Amino acid sequence: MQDLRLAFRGLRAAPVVSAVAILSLALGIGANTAIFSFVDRLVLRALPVEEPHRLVMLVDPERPQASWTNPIWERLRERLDLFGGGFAWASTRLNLARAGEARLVNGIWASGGFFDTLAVPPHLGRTFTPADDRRGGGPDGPVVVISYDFWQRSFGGAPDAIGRALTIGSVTFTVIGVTPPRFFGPDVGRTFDVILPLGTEPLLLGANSALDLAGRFWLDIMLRLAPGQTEDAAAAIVRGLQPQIRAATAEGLPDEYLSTPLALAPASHGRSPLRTRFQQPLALLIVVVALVLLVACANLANLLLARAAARQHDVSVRIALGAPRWRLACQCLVESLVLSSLGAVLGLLFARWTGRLLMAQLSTDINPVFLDLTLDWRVLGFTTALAAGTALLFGTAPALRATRVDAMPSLDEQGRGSAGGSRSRVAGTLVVFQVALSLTLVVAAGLFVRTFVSLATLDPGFTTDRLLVVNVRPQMTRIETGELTALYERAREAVAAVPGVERAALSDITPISGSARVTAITVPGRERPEAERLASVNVVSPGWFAVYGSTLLAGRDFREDDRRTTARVAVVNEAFARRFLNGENPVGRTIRDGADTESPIQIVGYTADAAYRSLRDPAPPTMYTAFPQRPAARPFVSITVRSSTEAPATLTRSLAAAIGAVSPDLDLQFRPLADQVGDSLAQERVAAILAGFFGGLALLLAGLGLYGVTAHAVARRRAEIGVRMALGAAQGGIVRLILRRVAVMVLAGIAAGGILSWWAARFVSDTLLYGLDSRDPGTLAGAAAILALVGVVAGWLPAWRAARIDPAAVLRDA
Amino acid sequence: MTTNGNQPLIKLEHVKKVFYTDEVETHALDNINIEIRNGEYVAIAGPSGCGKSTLLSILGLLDTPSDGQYALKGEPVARLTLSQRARVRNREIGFIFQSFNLIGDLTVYENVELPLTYRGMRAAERRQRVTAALERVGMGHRAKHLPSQLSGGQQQRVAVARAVCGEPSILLADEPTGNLDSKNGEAVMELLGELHRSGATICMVTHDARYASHAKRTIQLFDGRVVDESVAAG
Repeated sequence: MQDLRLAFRGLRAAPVVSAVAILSLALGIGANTAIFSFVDRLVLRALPVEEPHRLVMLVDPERPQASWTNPIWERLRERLDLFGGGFAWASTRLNLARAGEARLVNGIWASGGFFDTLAVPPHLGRTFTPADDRRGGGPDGPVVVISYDFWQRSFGGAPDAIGRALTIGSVTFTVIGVTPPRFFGPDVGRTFDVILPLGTEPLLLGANSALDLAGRFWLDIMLRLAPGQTEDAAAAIVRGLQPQIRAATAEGLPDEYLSTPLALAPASHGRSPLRTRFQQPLALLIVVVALVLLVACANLANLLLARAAARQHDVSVRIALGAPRWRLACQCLVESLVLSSLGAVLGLLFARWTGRLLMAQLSTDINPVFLDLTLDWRVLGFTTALAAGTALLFGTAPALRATRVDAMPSLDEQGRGSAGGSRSRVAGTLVVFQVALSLTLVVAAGLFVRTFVSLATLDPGFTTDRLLVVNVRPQMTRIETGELTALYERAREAVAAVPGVERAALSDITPISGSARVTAITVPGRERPEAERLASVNVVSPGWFAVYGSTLLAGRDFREDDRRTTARVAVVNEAFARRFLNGENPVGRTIRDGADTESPIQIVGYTADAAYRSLRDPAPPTMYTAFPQRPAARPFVSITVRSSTEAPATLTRSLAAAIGAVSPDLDLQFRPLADQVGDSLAQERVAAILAGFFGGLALLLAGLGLYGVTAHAVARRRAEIGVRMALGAAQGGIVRLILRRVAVMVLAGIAAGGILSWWAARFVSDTLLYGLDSRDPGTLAGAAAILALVGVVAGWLPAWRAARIDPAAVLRDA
Repeated sequence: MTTNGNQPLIKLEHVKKVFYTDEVETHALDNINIEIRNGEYVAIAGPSGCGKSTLLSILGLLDTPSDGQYALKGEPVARLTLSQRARVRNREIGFIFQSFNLIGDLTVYENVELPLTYRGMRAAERRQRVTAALERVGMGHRAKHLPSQLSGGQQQRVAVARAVCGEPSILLADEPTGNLDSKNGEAVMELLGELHRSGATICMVTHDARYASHAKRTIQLFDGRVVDESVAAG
C-alpha cells in the first residue's frame, strides 16, 4: 500500500514526464486493444449461437468463396433429416421507402430453418419456421423478423410491434418477432435489420426472382451436425447426395457444373468476406501496433532508468536502513504497474474511439461494416495482460538496477554523479532500438500513405466533380420488364430538365462501383483463345461521355436515333483497340459479342481509357453499347447527373420529385460520384491513416527518447563540460561533442532499422501497395532522412543547453 | 542476536580493508582491533582519508573486511547473506549520516517510519514509535513536513529520530555535525549525549577534536591504523 502511495506521489512530483509516459502507453496499449478487439470479433470469436462448433458450411473446395443456387438448396433441403438442421441465406439491401428516395436497410433472405438451426430464440414474439417459408408467404402471409436494434430504432422498443405491418419494397410484411440484442446473423462483419423468409423473395423481385434460376449462385448454405455426427460423416452424406442434386438442377448448365466433389467447412465463426479481405492488413496492423508498444516501452524503460539513477542515493539510504533488495525491486515494479495501469485505462478509451473510427472508415454505403466492439471480459483481460506485460517489459531493468545499488559509494557521493557508464550504455542501446523500430514504422507509413496518395490523385480518365449518381431500382411487381428502357429514358429527360442540372445520362454500370460485366468479343478474321476474348461492357445513353468528361478520340458518341431497330453500334476504348485491333483506329470496324453472335456491332466511336471497376486495375478493354439497344432483362440502371453547382447532393429532392413524376414505382438512391470513388479507397485510406498515425507516434517517441537520453547525458557530464570550457572549449565544440553522440545513436538505429525494414518487406504483399515496391528505396531514404532530422531536433536542445553551462559555477560547485 | 553483559557488542580482530583499482592497491584499514561494549560512547577520530568512514561502513555491515573477523553481539557476520545483513542492519544498527540522507520524497514522519516498515511492524506500533522518536528529538510538530522544508539542524534531528526509533543495539554516526554550523552542531552533540545517558551505545566518526571530546572513549586512526586510544576522565 505504501509502495502504491509512493508511486502515485512520484508521478505527481514530475507531472509532465508522467503525462508523457502515461499518454505514450495509452496510445500503445489502446492501439493494441483496438486491433485485438477487431481481430477477436472478426477472427477469433464464435457466432453467438448455441453449440457453434456443430455448424458447417457447404463449400466448393476449388472455389472457397462460391455461393449456391436456390434449386441446389431445395434439393438439399429435402434431405435435411440426415443432419441436425440446415438453412440457406443471402444478405441484401432492402428499401423501406414507399416511393422516391430509398431508405435502405440491411436484410437477410433466409430459409425456414434459419432460427431453429442456429438455435436462436426470439427476444419477443416468434421466429419464422419452414411453414412461413413458402412462395408468396405462409399461413400468416408474408412475415418478417426484425433485429433488436431495428426494433428500438423504428418501433421505440414497443412490445406491440409484434403484429404490426412493415412495408418493404411495395409489399406489406407482418412483424412476428424480434431477435436477441447480441445476434447479428451468420455474416461476421455485417449485421441485419430485417430477416425475410426466402419464399417471399418473388413478392419483391417479381420476374427478377432468382429462386428458380439454375445459373444464379447467390445463396450460402449452413448445416448443423447431428449430435455425435462428425464433419467427415456429414461431408460423405453431402457427396452421396451430389449426383442426385446435379441431375435435378443441371439443365442448361455447362458440363463442369457441380463436378467437383462438395465439401463442408467449419462454420463456428460464421461467414465473412470482410475476414478474407482484411486478413493480411490486420496481420500487418498487429505487427505495427506491437512495434509501437515496444517503442513506447523502450522510452519508458529509459525514463525509469533515468529516474532510478536520480534516486540511487535514496535507494542507498534505504539499503543502509535495512531494506531488503526484493522490496526495492518491488517498489520499482509497483511504479511501473501504476504507470501501465493508468495507461491501460486511458488506452481503453482510445481503443473505443479508434475502433469506432476504424469501422466508420471501413464502412461504405454499399458495404456497411458492423462489428460489435463493446467492451467485454475478453478485451478487458487482453488489456490487463498487456498492461502487466508492458509493466514487466519496461519496469524490469530499472527494478533490477535498484537491487544492484551499493550503499556506501552513493552515500559518499551524496547523490551526485550517480549515473554510471553502464546505465548510459543501456540507455543508448534502447534508443538505437527505438530508432530502428521507428524507422520500420515510418517506412510502412510511407508505403501506405504514398499508395493512398497515388490512388487518390490518379487520373481515372473522367472527372468526379459535380457528378451525382442516382441508382434506380424498379419495384418489379408493379412494372413490366418490357417497359423499363422507355421508362428510364423518360426519367433521364425529366432529370435533365431539373434546374441546376447541366447534363444527365443513363448507364448500366457506374465507374468504380465495384460492379463489372464482361462479354466475349469476336473480331472477324482474328481467332483468339476464349480467355483472351473477354472485354468489359457498359451500356450508356447518348451524352454519357460528355457527362463524365471522357475524351472522345475519334468517331462519334451515341445518338438518339441509335435504337433497337437500327444497326447495333458501340464505342470502344484504347485498351480495346490494343487488344483486339492491334491499336489501330477502331472506328468503322465490325465486331461481334458473345451475347448475340448473329447481330454484328459497328464501332462508331473511340474513347480514351478510363477506370472501370476499381482505381487499382488498369483500364480494361471496354466496349460501350447504346442504351436503347440494351437487353431488356437488366432492371437496374444509374442516371449520372452533372450539376451546375459544386454541391450536387443539394439536387436530391428535386431529382426525386422529377423521377417520381415519371413513375412512383422507382426506388432511388443518391450518391455523389466523388463519394463512390472515395469509398472504393476505404482499405487504402484506413491503412494510410493508421500507418501514418503510428509512424508519426513512433517518430515522436523516438524523438522524446533521444531528447531524454541526451539531456540526461548532459546533466551527468555537467562537470566535465564545465572543465572543458574552462580549458578553452568553444560553444560550437560543445554542441558538436553532444551531437556526435546523438549522431552515432541515430545512425546505428537507421542502419539496424534499414535492415529490419528490408527483411520485413517480404511480409508486405504487393496487393496492398500501388505504384511502388515494398522495398522502395525512395521511401526508405525518405524515412531515414526524417529520422535523422528528428535526431538533430531532439539532440539540439540539450546540446545548446550544454554550450551555455557556466564553467565558473560548475567549478565552484565541484 | 542476543548478548550477555561480559561479551562486547562489537568486536573487530585484525581487520584489514584493501581497495583495488586498476593496478593500485590501497590499504584503507590495517590490523584493526576494536571492542565496543553496551552503553559505551566511542569516538573514532582522525584526519581525512585515515579510514574512519571505511571502518564505520564495515561496522554498519555496508561493507566487508578484506581480512580479519568481525563479531556483532558475539556472532561473526562474515558469512551472513545479503538479506541477513539487511535484517541485522535494520534491527541492530541505527545510522546517522553527515549529510542527513533523508529521502526527499517522503515526509518527516515517513522518513522516520521507513526502517520500521522494512521490519514488517504493524501500523499502530509504528505510529507509536515514530511519534515517540520525533517527540524525543523535538520534531513532533514537523511530522508532515518534507525534508526540504527543514533547516540542516532539524534534518539531522529527524535523522537521529530515524536512527533511534527502531531501538537498535548501536548508533553509528558518521560526522553527524559535518554539515551543520557550530550552534546546530552543538545541539546535535547534546542530543547524542542525552541518548547515551539514557542507555544508548554510540560509535561516532569525527575529525573534529571538539566533538570527539563528547565521547567517553576516543580511538585515533591514522593511515588505516589505530594509533591511540584514550578514555575521558570521570
